[in-house]
Amino acid sequence: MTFIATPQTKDHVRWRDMSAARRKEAILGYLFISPWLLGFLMFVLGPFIASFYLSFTTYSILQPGKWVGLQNYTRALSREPLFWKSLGNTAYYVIGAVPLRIILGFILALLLNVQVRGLTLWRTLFYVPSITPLVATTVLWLYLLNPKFGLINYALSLLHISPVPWLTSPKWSKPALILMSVWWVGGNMVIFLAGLQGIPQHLYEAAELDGANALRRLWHITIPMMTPTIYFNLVINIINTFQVFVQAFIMTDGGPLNSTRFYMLYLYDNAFRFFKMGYASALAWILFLIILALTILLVKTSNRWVFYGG
Amino acid sequence: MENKGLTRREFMRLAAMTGASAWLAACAPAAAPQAPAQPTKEEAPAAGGKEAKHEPVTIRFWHHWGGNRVPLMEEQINRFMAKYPWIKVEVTLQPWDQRLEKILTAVAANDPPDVTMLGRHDMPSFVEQNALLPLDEWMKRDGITADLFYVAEFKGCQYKGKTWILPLPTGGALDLMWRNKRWFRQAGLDPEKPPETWAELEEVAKALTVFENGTLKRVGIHILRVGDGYPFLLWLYNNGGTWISEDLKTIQFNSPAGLAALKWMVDFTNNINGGAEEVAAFYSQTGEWENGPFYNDYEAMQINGSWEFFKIKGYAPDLIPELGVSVVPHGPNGESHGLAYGGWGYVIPRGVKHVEEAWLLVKWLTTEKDGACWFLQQQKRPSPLKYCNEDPASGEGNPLWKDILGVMGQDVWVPITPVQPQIQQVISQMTEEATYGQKSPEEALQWGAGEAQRILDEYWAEHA
Repeated sequence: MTFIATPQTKDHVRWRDMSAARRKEAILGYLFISPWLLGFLMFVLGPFIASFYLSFTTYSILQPGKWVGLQNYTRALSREPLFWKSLGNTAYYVIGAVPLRIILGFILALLLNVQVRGLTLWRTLFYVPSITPLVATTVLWLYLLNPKFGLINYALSLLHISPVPWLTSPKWSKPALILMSVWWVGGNMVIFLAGLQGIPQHLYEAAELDGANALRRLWHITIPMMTPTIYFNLVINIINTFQVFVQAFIMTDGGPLNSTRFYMLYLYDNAFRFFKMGYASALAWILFLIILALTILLVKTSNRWVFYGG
Repeated sequence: MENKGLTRREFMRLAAMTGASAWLAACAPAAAPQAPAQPTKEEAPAAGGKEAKHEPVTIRFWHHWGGNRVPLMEEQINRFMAKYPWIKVEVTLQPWDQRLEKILTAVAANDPPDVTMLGRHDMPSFVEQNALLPLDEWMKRDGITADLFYVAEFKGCQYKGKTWILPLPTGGALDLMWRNKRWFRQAGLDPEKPPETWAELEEVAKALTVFENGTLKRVGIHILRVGDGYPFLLWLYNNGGTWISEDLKTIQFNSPAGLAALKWMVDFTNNINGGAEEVAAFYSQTGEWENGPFYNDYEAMQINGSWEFFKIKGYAPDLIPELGVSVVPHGPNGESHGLAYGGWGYVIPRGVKHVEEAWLLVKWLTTEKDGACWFLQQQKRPSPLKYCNEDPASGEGNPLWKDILGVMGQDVWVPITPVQPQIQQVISQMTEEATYGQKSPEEALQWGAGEAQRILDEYWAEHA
């Protein structure tokens, strides 16, 4: 069975105008993507559209509810103080965790781009934490952050710092979770490493010839050449971090004093504990619009600082 | 423009429409068959169902009896299967945390377990969602009447005139005050004289609470940690207050009794226990089972339910001779009583296939001697069934039996609304804000009552 490897033309050919071989190729193509496509339709696009519809109703999972138009949206924005609180908590977490993970990921990638012995081992070690199961990691961190016998307070005590109440204090609970988010820096690091490999060596050589030291090379070559990767990581991290849920759900259930009641946890409560799935669907769409707006903002301002070197 | 053919755009549009229509087709009508207008004739019990031919049937049963109760549940189910040999029961221990969500999604997917354990605080909301089957017809057929149970227990099983759940274990006996007599003696207090008023409790707690280097080493009593999980309600009712009107429409806890209770909770936590944050950090060392705080000497007294006896027997049996149980102390405006707030029971979700067998299991788990009574007897806990508590075998082995029954006899039933999960979150938030000092007790109470009333008003407006 041979395939006709036709170079792809810009013009789309109608089905009936295709040759038999081309048609067979097309069918095979669709067959290959059909498992993913079915999954996408059933579990992503379908619920996506359904939730849009349901956000205009008082659907409660067990009852279809009735149409209420924009009421769920206006209620979220004007009559529910916990909406703003949860959004604020989430924004705090994003502002803390995203720069931290990006900067740390970048530094780690720089360090792990140097030819040392056991480089692969080091890279693996730093990456492995980010692929451990989320729930198991969260339970582990519950112990690490325990105010009385956790390892973190123990380490602080060795530096003569008095124990921090971490998750039992409304002031420290979000910083504790931001600290914890560093666990997942491996993902960013790996992408930065790939970006670093793509910087042409001759730029460094030219700079050295001109007498640039390591710091200047970093500032004038590495960072500018890495801006596309930084940009990518920034967008991806923001999208993901806005949806933080598991840590708050397992470790604190929003407490103490709603200090870790993140947006997704608030949504979850409404969807599954208060029988207000219609309202929760509206909340999901509001979050989508917020993240979309931020992403568009990043895209529009990207040409000011992202440099796509030739 | 040239011939487009099946372009990407068209393909995407087609896919989107297929996906959306498939989903909407799946979602909307699935809810319709659960509309209340359906006649219940397929759910009505057949007269004399037992003589009918018995094809083997498998039913699913979900429960939350974890820890050292797992073997007891297994035995109870084995006995059931021995009595009804054509029924096979698949038992699943559901974790505490997502119990509601699991039942909800199972019912929505039209694939619920035949029998499941459910909190009585969740029962009204489930009934409003049309998720449960009423049990009255079955009870009438098999001679199960309300007077088998204590009044406060059975009241919590009814909603809108029907019975939706049968109780097990008790909704009462949640707020017993346990004391460790050894610490009483060590502090120079009379171990046979438990405190009866809030003022007395403060004196006793001051003597029993130990600090070391400015942090807590042992707590006298943590009044924010109570058997039913809602300390504000307990102390409100012990100060002569009530939380809601009988018709479930008007919030009543924004009263002088409520304010005094909240203030007392804040002052006690700050002045005697070192503050809310200190206490929370202290309790982070403890757990639910092997490292329970009371029987590991983290606290000298606790307010907890009758289930504690079985745990102590399992994890710290040497403590038993040193135990004392009494009713919680009352405030200046009230009398002492525990609360029968919620509690558990077993329900049959709507949409199960084997309703007769599910009913037989519910009956076994809640009324029968070898099932319901035996299960609690093994744990030396009181039962919601009168005959069971009166059976001498029940109290045997538990030196505190009479005291526990005595306390349970004073329990007061607390009404539950269909929006209880949301209101409970409000009450918890209000309590936290006051005890952490974020708001003054007046402000917190004002906010809490206002918010709870708003939730109620919205609910009743939609379901008038």
